[in-house]
Amino acid sequence: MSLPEWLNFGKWTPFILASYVITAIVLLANIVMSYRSEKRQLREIALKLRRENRGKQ
Amino acid sequence: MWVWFHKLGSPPYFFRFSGIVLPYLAVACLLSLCIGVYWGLFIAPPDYQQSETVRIMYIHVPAAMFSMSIYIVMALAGAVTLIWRIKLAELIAAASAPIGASYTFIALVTGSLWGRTAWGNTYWEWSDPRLMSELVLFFLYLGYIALYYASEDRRGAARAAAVLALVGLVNIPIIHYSVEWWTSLHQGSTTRGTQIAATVHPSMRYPLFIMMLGFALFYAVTLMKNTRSMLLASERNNAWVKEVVSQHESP
Repeated sequence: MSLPEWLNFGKWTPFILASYVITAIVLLANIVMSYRSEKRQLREIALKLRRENRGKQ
Repeated sequence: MWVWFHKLGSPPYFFRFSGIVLPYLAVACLLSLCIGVYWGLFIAPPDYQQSETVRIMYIHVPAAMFSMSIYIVMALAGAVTLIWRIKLAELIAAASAPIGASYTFIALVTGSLWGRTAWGNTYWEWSDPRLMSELVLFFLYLGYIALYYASEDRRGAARAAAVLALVGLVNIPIIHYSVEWWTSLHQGSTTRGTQIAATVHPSMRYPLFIMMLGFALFYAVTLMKNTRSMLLASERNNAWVKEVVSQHESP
């Protein structure tokens, strides 16, 4: 499989693309983890509050 | 300004403030990273000596620069933690560590790939002071994260980790000046102060600046998000958190 012309940087293509792909993966992992972590916290606290309210009734 | 800073130290105010600015910062971050990558990969010219491999610079330089800056922020927040015991400073330091570790990892990997093309048949040189001091920085971040999560007592752990961050601060000038103090495979500094205008052509300088902005905004967005979830976890029994959650729950 050959790369499209616009992604061809000669003999250095693997080095350049590897740098950008690794960076993208690391940054994406960071942002996804931080967004999911806040969502999880909100969900857990909401669940705890619901349990507390049911206990009061 | 000072009053606003004091207000920002209050967890509920920080939560509300970050909730307002986060969408704008996220959009600005995405835009600058997309423009920077496109400019760096497809518009900027190849270097007359390094040819196409210079395109690695647009991610390596911002990652390396902010790996050090984030450590300074972490150490300063650690100092505030030790002196004034402000909870938000503890969380900011702890929230910065994984982002700093990621930037350091990116700097090491992209530097290694770039080095392979520039130095010949090697990805890594154990005797090189710049490479080794950057690797030490990576281990300092990992050590900070391990220490912070080692104890159930988060506030005590934050103080212990703050001491480690402050001790490790000595590594920052070593990284920065390593290329001047010792013989190194790594090139000398070209991005310090006004030097960049004289050493980097505008066709390469502008995409580099945009990528630097993108990396800075990415740090701001991830830091705020991490700090918000840590705040929710540590203040879950407080009334303001319950209010936030019930607002979030209601349609």
